[in-house]
Amino acid sequence: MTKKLSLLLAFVFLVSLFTGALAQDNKVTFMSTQFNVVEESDKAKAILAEFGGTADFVPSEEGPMIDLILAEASADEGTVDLLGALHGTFPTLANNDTLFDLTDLLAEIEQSVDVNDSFVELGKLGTEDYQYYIPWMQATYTMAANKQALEYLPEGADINALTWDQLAEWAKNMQEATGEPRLGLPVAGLFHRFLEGYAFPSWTGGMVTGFKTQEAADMLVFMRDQLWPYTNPESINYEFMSEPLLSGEVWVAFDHVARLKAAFDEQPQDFVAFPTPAGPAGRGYMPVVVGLAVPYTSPNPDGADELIKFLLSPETQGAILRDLGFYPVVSGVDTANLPEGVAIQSAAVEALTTAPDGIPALLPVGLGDRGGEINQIFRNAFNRVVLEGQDPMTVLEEEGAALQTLLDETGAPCWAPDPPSDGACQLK
Amino acid sequence: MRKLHWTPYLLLLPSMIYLTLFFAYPMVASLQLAFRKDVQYLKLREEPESDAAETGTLAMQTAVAVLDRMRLEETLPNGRTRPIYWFRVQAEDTEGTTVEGWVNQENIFIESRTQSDTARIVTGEAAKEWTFDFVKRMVNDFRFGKALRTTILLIVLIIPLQFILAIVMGLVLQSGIRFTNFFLYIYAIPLGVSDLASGILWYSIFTQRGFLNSWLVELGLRERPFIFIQSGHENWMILAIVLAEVWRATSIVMVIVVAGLQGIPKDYIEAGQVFGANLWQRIRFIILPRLMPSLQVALILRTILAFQVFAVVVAITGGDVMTVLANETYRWYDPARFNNSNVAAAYAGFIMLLSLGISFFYLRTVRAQEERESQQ
Amino acid sequence: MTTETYPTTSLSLAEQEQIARRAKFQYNLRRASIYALAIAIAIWILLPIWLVAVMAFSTPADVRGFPKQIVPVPLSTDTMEFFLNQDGILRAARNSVVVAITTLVLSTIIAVPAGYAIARYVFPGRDAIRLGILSVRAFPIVVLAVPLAVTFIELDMYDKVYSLALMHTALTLPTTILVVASVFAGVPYELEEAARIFGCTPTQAFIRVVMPLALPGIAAAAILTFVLSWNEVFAAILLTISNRTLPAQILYTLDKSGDPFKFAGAFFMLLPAMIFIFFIRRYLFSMWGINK
Repeated sequence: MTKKLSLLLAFVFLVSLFTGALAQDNKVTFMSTQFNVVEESDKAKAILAEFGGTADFVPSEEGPMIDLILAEASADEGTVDLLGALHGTFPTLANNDTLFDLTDLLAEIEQSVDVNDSFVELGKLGTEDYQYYIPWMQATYTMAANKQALEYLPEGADINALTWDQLAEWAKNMQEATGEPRLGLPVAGLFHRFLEGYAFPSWTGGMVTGFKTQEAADMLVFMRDQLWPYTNPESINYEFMSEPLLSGEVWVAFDHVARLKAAFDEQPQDFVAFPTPAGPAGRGYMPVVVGLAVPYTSPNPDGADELIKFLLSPETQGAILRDLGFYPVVSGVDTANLPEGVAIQSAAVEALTTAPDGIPALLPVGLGDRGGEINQIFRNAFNRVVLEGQDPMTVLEEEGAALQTLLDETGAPCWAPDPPSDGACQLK
Repeated sequence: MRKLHWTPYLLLLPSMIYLTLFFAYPMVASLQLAFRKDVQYLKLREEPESDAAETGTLAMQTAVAVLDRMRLEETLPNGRTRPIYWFRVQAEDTEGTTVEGWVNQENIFIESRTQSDTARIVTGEAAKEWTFDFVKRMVNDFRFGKALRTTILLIVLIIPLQFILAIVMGLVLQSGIRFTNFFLYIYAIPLGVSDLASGILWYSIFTQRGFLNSWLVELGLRERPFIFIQSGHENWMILAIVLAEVWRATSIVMVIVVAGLQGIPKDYIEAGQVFGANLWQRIRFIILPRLMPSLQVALILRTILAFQVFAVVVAITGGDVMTVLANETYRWYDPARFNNSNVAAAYAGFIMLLSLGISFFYLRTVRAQEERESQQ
Repeated sequence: MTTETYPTTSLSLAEQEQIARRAKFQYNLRRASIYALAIAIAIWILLPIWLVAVMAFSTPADVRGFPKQIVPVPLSTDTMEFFLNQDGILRAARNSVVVAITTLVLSTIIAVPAGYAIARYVFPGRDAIRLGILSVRAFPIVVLAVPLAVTFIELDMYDKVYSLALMHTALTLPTTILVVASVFAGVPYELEEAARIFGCTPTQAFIRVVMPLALPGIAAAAILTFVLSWNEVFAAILLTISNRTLPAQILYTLDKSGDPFKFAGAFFMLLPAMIFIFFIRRYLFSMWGINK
């Protein structure tokens, strides 16, 4: 039902596109689920103005984009040349066999720039020899702190190589010194990513396979006894951490780089950014990858290829970082003349993604349109143990059963950092 | 009252037609969502063509052995060629029989089209099956019990407060004081306020750096802000939600109460005064009984609407730790969250059952009372 | 006072005066307490509105500041300007008005006969119909909106202001019917009967006797309808893309912003409600018969 709705959504602006497409042969229609807020799409259009050909930037939501491409595939006639979307958008399109293999194009691009290998691997969506998308840009989640907080750092702690224990001690120090809990977590926002990509991997080394292990229970106990008591309890109402950081309500926070950006843009002199902490198994973190793909139904696939080359050039990647706050996936980007706030965040992202003990934990793959349910399961585990004080192992067993059902029903094989599996991923 | 007549049916006809068109049909469709599951089956073909004879049927996620493959090519309108792969696969179907046949690339996941010798079925033809899975899913979710408890708690706390306040407002407006127009205007303002706006209003008061904490600190009652909105202090969150809802939704009750008070002939009240009834006696024995039909409508209306409120809860508490049934419906429906409209439909059906049950209970109670009174 | 014209009273003049004084004092005390109550309720209603207005007209820095001030000094329109500069806010406001008025008219026209039937007639299936109407209102909009959206798409009525009004009519109709029914139930049946005895046809009796008495209540029901439509967000978001209503448009923006914009958005949502109720207050009051 939502499919039909989205189809119409897409159709409405396609009517206007179509007339334009007929008039201009060389136009490349670039539909993107990123930068669909007005101010951002204006900046994206400004960057695309540098492209040699004519690029028409069409912002969209994820659902409508998928429905449109599937509809165009069954009609054997298309209007969209290039797709820009999160990693998780592509499996549905790939499963329906709607995307070109971009292996040759990628080889051509890699003659001039080096594209991040692990992201290239992601673009194959688990296959060996079919490049469904080429990575375009990346983002992740980091920590941010008010400079006032730095004096309470535990003895001997290196802010660029924190452990979870040190973070907890730091939070405790701040609370004892100022009388207020100063650590904030976006529980009303993207907190499930904190659990999936940071907390669980740092203790278990994986995201789902270790879900109901003793290590996972240890992690929840740590959260319950050492971190949450010194976390601002109004965290349950925080969506974007830049807000409480700017208001001074919290001094140390975790969030998506884009959701911390406002603080660094407005008061770069007051804040520092640093990598997320490491646990017993390593430094879990979640890279967010945005990719570029060409549908079979593209009316102008050559133009789409050219636009991909343009988007992966170090100049364009630098401009995207400067103006839109997404990080490069290619080497050779000039980061010298960045605005102060962007530079601070950029350094933290760099430190995190190159940390020797880093465990990159990918967004869930292969769950199709049930990707949201896994977030619910992780949040349930946290809420029940940390907020309601239920027994960790019992909760993990129960929620783990729900997780296994979800994996079995969708047949999703394990994704990084869990070791690959044949068939549906199995919990330990 | 009149004898049986076709007039009432004629009068009701436009409404019935309208509601059937815009409600009954979609409502059936939504209930189907809660009890019907989409399943897919893939049909194997005798030849590598989509209209060739069927040789078997496989369920989703079945692992298959690849026996043979065939590469075709299609020239696309854009001038490029597109590879089309067919695979001859073998596997056990749901009944345990080994079946064999051709499938298209778009129905399977295969690591390498040219080399892999195993694959997995991922898409097929859609079919529908009856299921209780979604209802089970709802009931087993640990938020279900919390949401139900909170919803009922809020109704129990909010509705009596609202009715007392609304009747007080109505009596104040009917007491013939000066500036009645002005007061009525003020009291009517929340009529036009959405629950989202009301939630944000009270969030600005109760949040950590909100107005209430500002006053507590400035008056020296507290050294530091008190955190009202936190998981350990559900009572404070409930209080904030109750205040926001009483603030917002009492005006609607007041409108109905005032409309009802208008319908009470002045003589009745004056007669009461002449016979020396005091204010409370006048309210209890003259005004309230006459107000009953209006209050009944207001009560049913408010209870049913109370089941559907969630923006207040989300605006004040974030909607994760503190949750209500309508919020769960929305969270399961929301494409950006759990994106499962089936479970959402199960929640919706549950809310409808509760609302119906309570309305039926109200109607019965009021009628039983009327009958008792008419017998006396 | 007319007591002097009753010389038979056994009370002396002084005693009479004392009683009169005491009565007057009690009367004044009661008046005063009613005024105090009226004012207290008014403050209860106005205070949160004032506070969010202060936030809306403070600088973003003051909005984040602590302790918060209760007057907007320095006065700033920075926070509000964000909203006014947003694309489509004014257009959305116009859409909201069109949708709400269409809904009000349609809903009232359809609901009045139905409400009258339920209030005045006893007929087989009355309770079933009443319960049916209630059940319609009880179904959460959240789930109902999706199949309706699909129906509209199939009928080529998607993303149109009038189709949103049609849907809002469906959403408000049950409420309106029930409220109208209770209004008619409050009009004494004896009056209608008397009119019939004096030679009116049922229709004439309805138009000349029942309607004038029911009109204030029906106006209240109509306003309720307007408000329900005005505040409805979920169906509006699902059914429109380019023709968003004001709350839908604001919700869409709110989701992506922080506290200063939340408060400005809340104030902006309040503003039309306050203005709307202010402009119709005269009409409202005369309809309710409070204006002497």
